[in-house]
Amino acid sequence: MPRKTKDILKQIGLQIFLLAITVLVMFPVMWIFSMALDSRNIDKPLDLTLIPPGASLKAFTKVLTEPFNLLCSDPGNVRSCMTFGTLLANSLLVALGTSLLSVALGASAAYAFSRFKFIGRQAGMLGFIVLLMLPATATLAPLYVLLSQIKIGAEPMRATLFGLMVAYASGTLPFAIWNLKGYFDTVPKELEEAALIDGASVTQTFFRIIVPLAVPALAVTVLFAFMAGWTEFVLAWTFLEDPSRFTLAMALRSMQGQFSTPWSEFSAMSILMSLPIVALFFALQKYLVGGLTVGGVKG
Amino acid sequence: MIKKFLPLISILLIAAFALAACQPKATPTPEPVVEPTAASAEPTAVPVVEPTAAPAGLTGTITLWHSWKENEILSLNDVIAAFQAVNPDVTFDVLYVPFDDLKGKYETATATGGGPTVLIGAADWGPGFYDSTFIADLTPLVSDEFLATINPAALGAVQYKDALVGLPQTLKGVLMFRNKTIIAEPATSFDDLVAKATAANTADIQGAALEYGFFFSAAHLDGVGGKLLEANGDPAFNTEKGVEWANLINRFKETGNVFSYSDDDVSLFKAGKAGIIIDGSWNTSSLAESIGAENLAIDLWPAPLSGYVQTENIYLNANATGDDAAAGYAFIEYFLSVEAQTLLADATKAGHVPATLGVEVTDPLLQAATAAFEGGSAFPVIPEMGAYWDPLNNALKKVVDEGIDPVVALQEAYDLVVAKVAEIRGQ
Repeated sequence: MPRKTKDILKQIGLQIFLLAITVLVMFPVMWIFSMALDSRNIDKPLDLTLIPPGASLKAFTKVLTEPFNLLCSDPGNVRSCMTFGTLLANSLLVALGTSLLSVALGASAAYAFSRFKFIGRQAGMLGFIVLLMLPATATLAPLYVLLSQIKIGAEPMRATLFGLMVAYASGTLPFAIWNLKGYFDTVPKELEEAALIDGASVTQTFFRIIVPLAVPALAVTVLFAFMAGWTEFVLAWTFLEDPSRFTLAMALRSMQGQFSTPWSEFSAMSILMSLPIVALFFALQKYLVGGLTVGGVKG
Repeated sequence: MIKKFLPLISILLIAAFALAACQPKATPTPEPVVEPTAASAEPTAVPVVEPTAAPAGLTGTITLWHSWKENEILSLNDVIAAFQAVNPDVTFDVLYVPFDDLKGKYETATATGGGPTVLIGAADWGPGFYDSTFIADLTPLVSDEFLATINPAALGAVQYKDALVGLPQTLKGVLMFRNKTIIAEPATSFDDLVAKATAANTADIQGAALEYGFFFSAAHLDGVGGKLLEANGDPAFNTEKGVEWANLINRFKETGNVFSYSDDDVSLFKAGKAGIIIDGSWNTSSLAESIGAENLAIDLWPAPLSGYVQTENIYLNANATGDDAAAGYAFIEYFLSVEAQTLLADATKAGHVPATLGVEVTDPLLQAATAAFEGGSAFPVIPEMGAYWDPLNNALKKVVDEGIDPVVALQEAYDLVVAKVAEIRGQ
C-alpha cells in the first residue's frame, strides 16, 4: 500500500476516533439542551431529538421570571420567595467570596511555604495532602459544629453566607496552597533578592514582584474556588436556614423532587447556571494552561 | 535525622488533633432555648408538655421542616392559618428542605442540640431517629381517645419499641394506574390483566408497562400468601410462597416490556402509550394532568397482586422544650384532626389520603386510592428492612432479566439478607 494512502487511512481512523469522543462528550450536553427546550410534561424524553416537538423557551422564561415557590421566607407570601435574580446575587457573593478567601489566604500561605524555612513546613504540606484526599462531605460535621459555635450577632456563623464562604474556602485552600506553592517555587529567587537590595520590604516584594508573576496560578485558583462555591449544595442545604440566603445551586437541588422532577426547568436552570462558569473560563483561559502545568509539576 | 522524622511527627500530630477533636467536649454548646441531648443508647426523655385536647392559648415558635412540594405547601399554609386562628400567639418558621437533604440536615442539627420543633418526614426514618434520641416519644402526651381517631393500620407505622415515635399524617403507597382510553375496564385478576394488556398491545402502545423493582413488587409476596419478614426482622421470603412470588413477577413479561426502577413506564403512561402502570400515589396528580383526570383510573389490586402502603409521619424533636414543645405537640395533634386532614385532602392542593378516620373524601381518584390502600400491605418500618432492598431487587432482576431459577436467586438473596440483618443488629 502506498505511503500516501496509508497516511490518509490513518488520518481517517484518527478523525473517526476523535469524532466518536466528541459525540460521547457532547451527547449529555445535547440531551440537556433538548430537555430544556421540551415543553411537554414528561419525566424525560423517550428518544433524543435535538429539537423536540413543540420546542419552546418556556422553561427558560419560567426559571428566569417566576418566583421559586419552595424557597420562601414566608410560605404564605409569594413576595418573600426567592427569584432567579436574588439567588444569582447570593451565588455570586458566595462564589466570589470563596475565591477571594482562597486566593488571599492561599497565596500568602503558599508564599511562606515556598520561601521560608520553619518548623512544621513539611508537615503542613503533608497535612494539605491529607485534606485534599478527604471527600468534601467528610468535613461537614466538624464544620457544622465549629461554625455553629461562632456567633455573628445572635445567629451562628454557620447560618450566614460568610460562614458558607469560610466552609467552602476550607475545602479549596489545600489545593490553592499546593498549586500556588508549586508555582512560586518556579519564580527565581534572584528577582526577590534584587527587589530587596533595591529597598523593598518582604511584603512589597510579594505584592509587587511575586503576585504579578503568579497570575496564571492565581487564575486557576480563582476558577477552582469559584466553581466550588458556585456549584456546591450539600453543605449549603445543611448549614443555611433562611431562604433569603439560598443560592442557585440550592434552588437547582430543590427542583429535584423525591418522586418527580420538572426536567425541562431543571435543564434550563442547569444551562443558565453554567453560563457564569463558562464566561469566567473564557476570561481566564489564556492563564489556565500555564497555571495548571507549572504549578502541578513542582512540589 | 530530625528531618527524617518530621513526616512521622506531622502525621502523629494530625492524628492527635483529630482524636482531640473527637472528644465529647468538642460538641457545641446548645442554643439557649434548646435542651441538649446526651448521646445515649436509651431513648431520650420526652419534652415536658401537657396533653392538649384542643389547642388554645398557646405561645411559642414552631419551627417546621418538610420536603413538600408546591401544591402541598398550599394545604400546609391552610392548616397553619387554621391553627393560628385559634392560637394567634404561636408563630411559625417553616422551611422547605429537599427530601434527599432533609434527613441529614435534621440529624446534623438535632445531634448538636438544635433542629426544628416539628419535622414532617418519611415513616422509615422514625425507628432510627428514635434510637438516636432525635425524636420524642409521644406516648405520654397522646390520649387513647385521640389514638382511636387514627387509622389503625397507619398507626402501626409509628409504633416502635413500645414507643409512639410520631404520628402518621397521611397514607401513601404503590397503586395500579389505568388509562381508561386504552383499557376500559379494570382487571379482575392477574390473568385477566395479562389478557387485557396483550389485547391492547399495538406497535405504538403497550397495554401494561409493569414495574418490578423491589419496592413496587414486594407486596405481591403478601398477595400470594407469603411474607417478606417476621415481626422481629428475620427473613421469611425463602419459601415456596417466595418462589411463587418470583414466578409471578417473571410472568409480568407476558404483557410486554417490564421495568425496574425506571421512569420509562411513567413516561410512556404520560405520553398515552401505556395502558396500565404500577407507580406511587404521589404521582397521581401529574398522571392526571398528563392524560386528563377523566381518563385516569386507580384500580383495586387484581388478585394476587398487592402494593405497599406507607405513611408519612410528623415528628416532635426531642430537643424541643417549654412553650415551643407544647405548641409543637398541639400542632401535631391538630394536624391529625378531621378539620386539618380535610384541608390536606383537598385534591386541588395536597390531595393527601387522610390518616384520620371519618374524613370525608370527595375526589374520585382520592377515593379510589383509599379503597386500593385497603387491599394493600403495610410497609415494614423497622431498621432491618434496610437489609432487604438490594439483595431482593437483584434476585428479581436475575429471575426476570437473566432467567435464573427463582429457588437459586432467593437462596442467594436470603444469605445476603441474613448477613446484612446481623450487621444492622451489630452482631
